[in-house]
Amino acid sequence: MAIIIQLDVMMAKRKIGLMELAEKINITPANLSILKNNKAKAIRLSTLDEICRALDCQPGDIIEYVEEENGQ
Amino acid sequence: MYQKSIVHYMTKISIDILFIVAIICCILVPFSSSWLFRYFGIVEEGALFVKAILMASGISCVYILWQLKVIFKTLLQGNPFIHANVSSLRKIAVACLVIAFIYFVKMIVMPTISTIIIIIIFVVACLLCLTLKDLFKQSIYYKDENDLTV
Repeated sequence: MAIIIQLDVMMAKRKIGLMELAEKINITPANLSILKNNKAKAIRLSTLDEICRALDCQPGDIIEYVEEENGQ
Repeated sequence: MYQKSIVHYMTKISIDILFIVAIICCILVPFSSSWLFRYFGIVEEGALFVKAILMASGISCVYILWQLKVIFKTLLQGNPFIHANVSSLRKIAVACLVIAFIYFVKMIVMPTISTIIIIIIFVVACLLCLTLKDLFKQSIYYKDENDLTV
């Protein structure tokens, strides 16, 4: 997919672990892992809001659009 | 969120009882000559044909009930929207069609009103199962979508 989740980069910058972040934003570590590993099909605005608040960042810091080679 | 209901348990118990009764009936079919003569008013020569019809449709019914048991097991586990249930519904539809075909053969040889009704019922059941199968397939898609929405 052309949308890449850069959550691990922001987590490393803020020095926060998966379990700690999951607890802070009140979602299960399994779901956060799905998001972190780019397996998620969609992200709720409420989840994005919580992540941005917890990591003190903008949605653009976590989500990136990368154009694929075949232009799709 | 799946909520267990007494209706589901009652249906499960009904299917279990019907499954056992269907197996017993299938076993008893070869020994039911006198009953067959009285009920169908058939002669000795036709008994074998009627027995074959009853046996074949009985086995198909047992198969349908077995597949329903499989579906209800997953329902009571709280996860009915799986590909195995789509497959089960397709198998039920095929079994319904087999029964309809068996009774179509019977209708040609021994035409009765009840045979025609049975054919109609099982053809409609087949179509309903195929529709339900597609609904389940669509539900699985939505469930996967929901599961992967964080």
